Amino acid sequence: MTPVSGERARHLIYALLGLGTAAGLLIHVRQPVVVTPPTRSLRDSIQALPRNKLVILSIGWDVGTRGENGPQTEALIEDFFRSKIKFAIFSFASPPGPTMAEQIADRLARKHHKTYGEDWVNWGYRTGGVPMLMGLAKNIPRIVPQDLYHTPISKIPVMRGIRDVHDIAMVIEITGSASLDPWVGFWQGVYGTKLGYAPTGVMVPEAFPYLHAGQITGLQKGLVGAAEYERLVGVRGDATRRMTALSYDHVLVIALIILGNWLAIRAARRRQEPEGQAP
Amino acid sequence: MTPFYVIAIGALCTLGIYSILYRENPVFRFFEHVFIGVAAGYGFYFIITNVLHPLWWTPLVREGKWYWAFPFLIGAMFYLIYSRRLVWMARLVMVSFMGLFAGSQFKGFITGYVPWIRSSFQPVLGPKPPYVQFTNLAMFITLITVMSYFFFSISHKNRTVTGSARVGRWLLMLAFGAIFGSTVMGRMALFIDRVAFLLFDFLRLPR
Amino acid sequence: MWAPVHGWSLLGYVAASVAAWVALFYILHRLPLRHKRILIAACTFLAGLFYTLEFFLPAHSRWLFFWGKHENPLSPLVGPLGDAVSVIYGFTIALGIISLASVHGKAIARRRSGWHNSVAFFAALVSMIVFGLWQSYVPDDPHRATWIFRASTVHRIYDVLFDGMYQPLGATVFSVLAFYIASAAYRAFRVRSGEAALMMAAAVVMMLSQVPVGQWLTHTLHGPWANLRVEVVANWLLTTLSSSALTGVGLGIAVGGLAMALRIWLGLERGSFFEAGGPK
Repeated sequence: MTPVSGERARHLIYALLGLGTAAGLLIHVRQPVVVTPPTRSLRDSIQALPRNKLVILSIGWDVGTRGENGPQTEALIEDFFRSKIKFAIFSFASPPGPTMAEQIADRLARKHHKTYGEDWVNWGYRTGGVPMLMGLAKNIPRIVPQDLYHTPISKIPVMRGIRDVHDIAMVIEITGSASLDPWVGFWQGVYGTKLGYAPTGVMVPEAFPYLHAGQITGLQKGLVGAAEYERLVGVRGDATRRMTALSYDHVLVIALIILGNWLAIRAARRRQEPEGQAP
Repeated sequence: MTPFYVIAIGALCTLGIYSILYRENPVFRFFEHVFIGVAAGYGFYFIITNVLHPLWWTPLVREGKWYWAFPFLIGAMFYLIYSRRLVWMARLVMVSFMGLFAGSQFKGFITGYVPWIRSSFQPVLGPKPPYVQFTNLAMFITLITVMSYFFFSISHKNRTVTGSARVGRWLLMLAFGAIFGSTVMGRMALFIDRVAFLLFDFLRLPR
Repeated sequence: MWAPVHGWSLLGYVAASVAAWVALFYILHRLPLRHKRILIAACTFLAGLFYTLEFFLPAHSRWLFFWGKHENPLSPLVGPLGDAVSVIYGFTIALGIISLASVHGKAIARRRSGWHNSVAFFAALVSMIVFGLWQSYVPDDPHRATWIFRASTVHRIYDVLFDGMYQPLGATVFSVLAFYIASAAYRAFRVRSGEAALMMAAAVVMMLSQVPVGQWLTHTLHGPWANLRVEVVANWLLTTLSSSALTGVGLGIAVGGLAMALRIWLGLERGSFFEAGGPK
């Protein structure tokens, strides 16, 4: 087999990736996803939460990682609505995050007949990093005097009685960046607040030291984690529907690694053979 | 429900960016600059409406808390970085905030990383199943050998340290392989999202 | 003195605050360079001392805090400080915009190659700011007129900018990496040593464990052999060896970060950024 030249090989690979992914999305192959312990642990800890406290859904993702964090957010909000868990959307790492999460919450709220202000609230985005989070733990209404729609927090029913960190049942960080550390260092480590984590695939291995140390109660591992969570919740959402395409992409990458190495080994052997001898 | 013209513009932007895959071209450059513009503009207006207006303007003007003028003055000092004569004032403010952040790191380290150390030293002997004992031992050995690989202040001439560092490097390769495997999933997921947008939202194909 | 004021009194208090601030820094500006360096180091140290003391001092102590309720006096200040820092950081948003505007403005002024892209940048920037602010303060109402547009038109234009341009462009820019990973898998990932082979083996196990087709490959293993299923092996790899290795790396980074924080706090860092003088 003759290796294809550089530019053509590149375009061929791109075409294989693009067309194969499209085919994977259009051809419905029901493939059950195996639920792994970290995802199950996250769901169990969410289900065990007291219903009279609020959960903070911390949106650390931006438009760039919407492909992974979007389905994760959707799976979690779906679970919150089904389990009647009240939550607050918040971000300190991504300005558009709360707006994008609100679009997801709005869509699911119509499906579950939920009302903004009574079943969830959107605190919007706050700058200030660690000092702001430390202040938020002491006095939530001071740091968040109004919601994303400029409504005073005191007028929002779901915020009644929510004053500080002790009124928060859990924080779940959904992120494509290193925005878990402040929650671990200044909320979980200081007040013992339960933490959940839903990172993008790139950050999954780095999340396991937190899991092992007991700093997070569970973990949604990227898009696959979202699919596992959807299976636990009992829905067939975007994450589950994309598993066929994801399978194809992974198999393609493995095949390309093997092919590339095989061709390189063959080329190296040809260079080593003395001239004049047939290959 | 998003109007179709919005989706169509989104599809145009998507395909414009993907044109880079063929080769460098003016269409990609145009959309790249548009992206930087809307991203910068979004951050700017959003912080005005969601941070400065509720947290600064309202307390200062509506509630009469005059001392909120001082955060404005401190924030304004950051812009003195553009003045050669007054740049030291900008540095004063920036480095002070770095000091503020640095001071919080002691708490962050103790509350964030000491549990890691504690959880890494689990008993390898005792009334635990053999599998658990083996796992605890493997984790302990992994941690020690990986850290010995990074101890550049100790000479690696000693055979024990060299051997330990080599084992640590091998174990690090396992971790990097796991990171690579996860990264592939992450990147592919982002691409799948774009293809799903083009197929189901733009072309209106059945899901 | 700290009570809220309104009307002309508010204006007076704000003007006096600004005047006092300007006067203070006018005096400080006249200090010699050496004193400015000391001032910067002192402010850095005091700023860092706040959180350090707030953490290390006990929350309650009769002999240390012998007044009032014997509570750490710094703890009540954490909230207001967080509030103030949030606002101060908000004011810095224009720094990046000024930098970008400077680069693209010069490109247009000097008619550099591709200057029309810089025009597109400014058009996108100004549109997003104008329509973003406009729609934030005007309700979405087809019957309400605001200046040259109806309120609903303003919201529709904003939707085009945010949902039609910002989100797709941002998502697409990051998704291009998928193609580069696939291309690199074919051209760059060479297994040339035992370590590389180990890394690739771990990567392949991880990739197969993440997708149903990989899980299907070993789904027939039962009983004690079920521990060799690809998702079980991958989970073990992530929770034991990988987790410990990355704990080691993370601790190294954390200790390094702590050392850096200490250097900054104590003013031991050198370099033009940390010194009061102008650019060298």
